[in-house]
Amino acid sequence: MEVFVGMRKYGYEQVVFCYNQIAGLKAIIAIHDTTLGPALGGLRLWPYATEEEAIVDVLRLARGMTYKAAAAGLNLGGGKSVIIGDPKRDKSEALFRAFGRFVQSLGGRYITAEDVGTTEEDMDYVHMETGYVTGASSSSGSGGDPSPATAFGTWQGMKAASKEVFGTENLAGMTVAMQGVGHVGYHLARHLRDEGVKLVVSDINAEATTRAREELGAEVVDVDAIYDVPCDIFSPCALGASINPKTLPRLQCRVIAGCANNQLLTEADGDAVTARQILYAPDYVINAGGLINVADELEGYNRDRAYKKIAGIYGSILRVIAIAKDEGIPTYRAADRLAEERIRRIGEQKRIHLPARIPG
Amino acid sequence: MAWLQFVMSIFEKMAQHRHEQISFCYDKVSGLESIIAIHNTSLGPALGGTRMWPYETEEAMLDDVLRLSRGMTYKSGAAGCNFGGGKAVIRGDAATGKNELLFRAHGTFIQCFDGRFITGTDVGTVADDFVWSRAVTPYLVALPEEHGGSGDSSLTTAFGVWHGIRACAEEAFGKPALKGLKVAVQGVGKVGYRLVGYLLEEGAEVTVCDVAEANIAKVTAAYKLKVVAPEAIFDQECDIFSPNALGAVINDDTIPLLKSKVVAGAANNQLAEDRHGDELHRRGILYAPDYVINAGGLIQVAEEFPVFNRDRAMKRAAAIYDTLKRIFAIAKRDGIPTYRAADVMVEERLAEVASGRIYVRRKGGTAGDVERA
Repeated sequence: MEVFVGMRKYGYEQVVFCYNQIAGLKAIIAIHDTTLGPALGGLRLWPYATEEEAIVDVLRLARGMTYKAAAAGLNLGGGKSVIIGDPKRDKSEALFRAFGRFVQSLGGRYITAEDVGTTEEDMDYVHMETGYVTGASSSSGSGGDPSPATAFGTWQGMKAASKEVFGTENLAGMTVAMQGVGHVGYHLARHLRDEGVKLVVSDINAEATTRAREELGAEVVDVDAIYDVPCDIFSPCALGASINPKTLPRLQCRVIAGCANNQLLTEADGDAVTARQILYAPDYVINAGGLINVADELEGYNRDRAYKKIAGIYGSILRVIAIAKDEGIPTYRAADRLAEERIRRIGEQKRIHLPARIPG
Repeated sequence: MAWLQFVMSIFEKMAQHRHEQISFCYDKVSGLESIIAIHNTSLGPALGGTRMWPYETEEAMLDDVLRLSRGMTYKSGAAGCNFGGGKAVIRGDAATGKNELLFRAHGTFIQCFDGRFITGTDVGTVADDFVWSRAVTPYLVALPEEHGGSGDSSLTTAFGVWHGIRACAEEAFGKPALKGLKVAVQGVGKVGYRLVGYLLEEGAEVTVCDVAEANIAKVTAAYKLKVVAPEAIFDQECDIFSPNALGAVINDDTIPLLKSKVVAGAANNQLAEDRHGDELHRRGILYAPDYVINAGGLIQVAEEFPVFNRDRAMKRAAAIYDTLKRIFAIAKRDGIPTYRAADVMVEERLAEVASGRIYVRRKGGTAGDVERA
């Protein structure tokens, strides 16, 4: 049993186990790095088969949030939490209020939000015990559903990638093959349609493809056929790991830019993408719109301000590309470099002593 | 994952005694690896020392901090303090592994609980170590006196033990006065030495032993009393046996040797196992539960909030007399040994304390909450 071995590997600051018998709460809060500010990350409720699985998951996700927030230019660190339980059976007011008290116990070092298995209503219970929660309907100035924000940011990132590869940020006339047009994918497809893009889409959900065809004039192909579509941009907007040794040789695009999480099965697939001279827009950079939107709630949500920040994903993708070129490394690595360098440089500034606390 | 090999899951361990929270803390710059455990905060913020020890395994470290933090819930609860139970352990060698970075990092993690956990010295740490921590957190007790600490607590501990012994005398011999009673004192270190002073002043006949010659030299220089070899202490005819040295001194070997009707002293963990407490009970020997009678040191640091006042601390330490009488009453009421009655008393207090449930405007406040600048 070695939690510290896992913590040492990537320099996690803190892993907090929280227990309450009456509420049936077994929660783990992981805080990876708070150099830039309090750790922000969602609460996942999942029926993990073992405690070990829960620990591995929360550690992995917390570290991902550090990079995502850093690359997005936010003054936030990386954290995540999990509750071991079944979202269908184990939810209760007591459960989320007990969790809320433990969030509060960390004094703002960790800020929670909804994630897989949790909803806005759950966050409302959390909010009864702590202010360190975003996405509760009762919290002042909620940013609402973050999906349109994620879609908007992905669209901006796609334009930046296009600027690099095709010399123009104007996507009109291009063909984009979209894998997944459910929630975020649908909102992204609308932006692309409005710009005059030819859409070819697939989705495991027939309702989603029907809507894309009827409402957006998209051409629909089979789920597996999407990889073979001749296109300018391939846009993974569904499950993770869709870029893998089986799918990559089939891709007929010059850009990969989508809103899915964890698009690369392994880092080797990121190297292989580069070898095929396809430009990959790193997932956690391009899909940070939802996070930026949620982070804006911390200052009292303002939609214009939030969307202006989200539009900055255009510049972030260009910076990642510049780093990749300068250092001769794949873009997924360049994104990590961007995040790590920002943490290092901004962290240094904290040595300049200020007598009073400043926000964040 | 190969690095996660649980004998028992962490949540299973927490569920056993309902620990609230366990924080694994790591700092890559200093190399700090620590665990902060908060057992129960029904009465107020968790108070407990920081132990530094070269634990061989993470599991040993976790088991230690779980056990110790739970012990603090009971100790504070019995002492009438408005604090819950917590403890911190740092993995490392106290002789070679200490430095400013380490204790600053430790202080940072204490600070992140924002007053929910308050710590101080324990095995492997000294007051001066926490001067480093003080740069980043105010949630510290038992700092060096020049940094606002209340200073050496052995006098308060001895004072509390003396009052505890008086409660035992009343229970066993009908009156609290110790005049003429024979007391065998095992260990005359810092606390034992001061205890001997109180006992002699009241007219008790005191026999002492100690493995350290320097302690014997000091006590014989100050007082006229009988000194015996450490192994001979159990042969002394006495009314009260007072263990003030090592733990586990009440065990299978020593119980048949006991000649006293009372066991009451300052040592920690006096019973080798619970069953030895049962055996004392069976033999009609009155045992003053260790964590109750030796709580003077804890009481002193608890009374550092909001501002230390020695009279107040001594008054609360003297109340150990009343606490033990309550425990003896519970033992009789329930027909159980005193060591169990002490736990029952604390559990009843935890269950009954209503301050957290009755609505007050200051959200979540309890009497133990302390604002420190």
